[in-house]
Amino acid sequence: MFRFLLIRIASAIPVLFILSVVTFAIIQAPPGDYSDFIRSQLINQGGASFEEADAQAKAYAAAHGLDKPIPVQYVNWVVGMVTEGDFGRSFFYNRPVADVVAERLPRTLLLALTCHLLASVIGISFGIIAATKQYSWIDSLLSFVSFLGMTVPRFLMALVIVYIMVFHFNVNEINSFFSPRYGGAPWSWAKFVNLVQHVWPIVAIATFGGLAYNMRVMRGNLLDTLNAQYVETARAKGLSEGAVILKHAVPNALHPLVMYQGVVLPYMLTGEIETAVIFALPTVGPAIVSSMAVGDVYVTATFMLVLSATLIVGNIIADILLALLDPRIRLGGGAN
Amino acid sequence: MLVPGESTLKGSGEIVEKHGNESYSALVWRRLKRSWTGMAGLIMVGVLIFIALFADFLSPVDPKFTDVGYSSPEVISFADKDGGWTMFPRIYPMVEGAELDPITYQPLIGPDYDNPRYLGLFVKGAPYRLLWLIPAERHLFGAVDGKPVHFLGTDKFGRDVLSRALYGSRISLMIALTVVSIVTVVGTTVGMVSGYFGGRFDVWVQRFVELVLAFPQLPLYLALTSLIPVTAPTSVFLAFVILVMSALGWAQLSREVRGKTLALAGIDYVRAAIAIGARDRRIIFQHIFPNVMSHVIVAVTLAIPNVVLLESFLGFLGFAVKPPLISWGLMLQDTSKYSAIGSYPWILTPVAFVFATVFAFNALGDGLRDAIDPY
Repeated sequence: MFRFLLIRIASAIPVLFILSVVTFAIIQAPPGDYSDFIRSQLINQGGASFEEADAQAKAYAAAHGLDKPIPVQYVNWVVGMVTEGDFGRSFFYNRPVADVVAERLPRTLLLALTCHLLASVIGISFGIIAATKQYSWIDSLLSFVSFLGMTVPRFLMALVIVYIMVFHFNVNEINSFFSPRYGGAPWSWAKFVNLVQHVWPIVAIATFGGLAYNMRVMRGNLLDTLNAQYVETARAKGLSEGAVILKHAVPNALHPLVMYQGVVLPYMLTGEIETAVIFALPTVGPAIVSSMAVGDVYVTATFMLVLSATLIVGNIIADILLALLDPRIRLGGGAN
Repeated sequence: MLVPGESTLKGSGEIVEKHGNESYSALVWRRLKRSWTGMAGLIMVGVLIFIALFADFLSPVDPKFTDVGYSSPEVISFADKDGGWTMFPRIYPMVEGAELDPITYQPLIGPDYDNPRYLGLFVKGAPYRLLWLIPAERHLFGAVDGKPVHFLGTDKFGRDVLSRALYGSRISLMIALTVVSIVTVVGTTVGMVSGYFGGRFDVWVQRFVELVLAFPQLPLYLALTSLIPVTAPTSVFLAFVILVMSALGWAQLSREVRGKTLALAGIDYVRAAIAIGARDRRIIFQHIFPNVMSHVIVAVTLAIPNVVLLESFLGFLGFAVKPPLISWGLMLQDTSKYSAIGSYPWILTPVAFVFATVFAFNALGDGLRDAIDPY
């Protein structure tokens, strides 16, 4: 088990390395960097002449190593990251990238995790209900809900909800986590309620899609297991129907779902990013989009790297869970 | 390459039919007919393709024609100026009046009751080429005198939203279909070859696939689309957008196909084919391909709506096609400002089209999945 884990983690390192190279190359490839942004800003908004602005931009580029060739910049970035935990400096926010990431990433991960958990719990319960009541009206209703969840595009749903909220219910605090009066206030029940009031649309939208996937997979799996002989045996032993389903059928139907989590995670993360961009909520999504627009390289590259790492970690966790659940994998059944 | 495989498939199907049995496709069709969502999807997909092909005939106005900006939708009316009922449907065009808004000092836009535009079917309008071939100037409906009518209002430059949405289906569906074709060909080939040959080659290909799957998709798409030089001609830009969207999509499909191929490679008829010395290419395309095809067809149908959505989201962020091309994503770019959708909600029209497309392909894909693989 420990060895299995070690191999999984070790195999993630080259993937992360290649990811960082590719990401950095892609971001740096288009002409123009942050010094060009400074130049155009100075000319357009500061009223500087081209020579003045150019001198400023050149000085900035020299000070921050932007005038060096791209491979050198990359090596500097990685060396700083590995040796000192320094992810570089955000030009746009004018503070260390680590701070920007530390500010936004936990929110994104928390939101994505909340959605993920809700989607799993609700999806699995719906799946169990639908499978045990197959072909009843409740099954058709839940199938319809799951079809809607998979079909209705999250980003358009977000767009329409923003429209309705802002222009029909006069909500005017959609792009923040809290009302202004809770700024800097310590955590309290009221603050939590306020938070929920602000983020529920995002959680609801992202959950809806994930729920549909989970429910569909769960329903299919449970229907398969309910036909298995050991379930029949359990019934024949005289166990109550609830015990048969929850103790014998559901644990065995969960395996494919757990395996599936590695695929669902990026879907949930993308959903969170998409909706957060529409709602302009200060999380990772809008930060990536805006940093890309101004050429704030290290922020974009770090976010991409951190997101990939999250995906990889999520996959490893899914593998571990699967190994815990399924002795065939734990005992080396898949070793060949 | 695929032609011999397909022709034998058809051939064997005919032989089976002579024996009074149903061919595989007939079976699938019969099962598909039973699912009403699948049939609804099929019909909607047909309608969408019809709209894309005949967009110029269906749209009442030239999509590049500019009129009063942000004029609200004009409603079909049977009432004349004094409110009396008349036989002839008409609209009252929105024009900028002489009065100014007391707050914004912008000219007030309102219906002009003195100059109704009578509506008719098959009216003469802007000339176009039907199916890019036949010169024509009849439109399905519009104003009798050829003047513009805006059933869904106009956008910020005063272009007709309905016509643009109809024209937009062309680029949006074209992008979706092209991307999905590339993804399918690459994904299926890689998956089959990797699964069939196995061994060291398979291990390396799978490492590569894992790498591609580890990329966070959305940010990578954004990064890749910002690679396109802004000055590139629209056709180059479009090609690049298509390439970017195909860059990651094939990996998941190749994984699934590889899984199926692995299972198939151990089955007797494939081993028999190997034993009698059939070439690898023949085995892959004659014996394995027909068996993974059903899975691929479903995956393709379900992949199309994802591409349409991706295009609309990238367009919303301003990273998709460039004008003068028209796509739903491009039209949605204006909706990113809360003030614009608040005052002019009709510019959200492309949302309905995207919804319909996504629903249609998903419903069809769902029905097909149940029809092809009922287990």
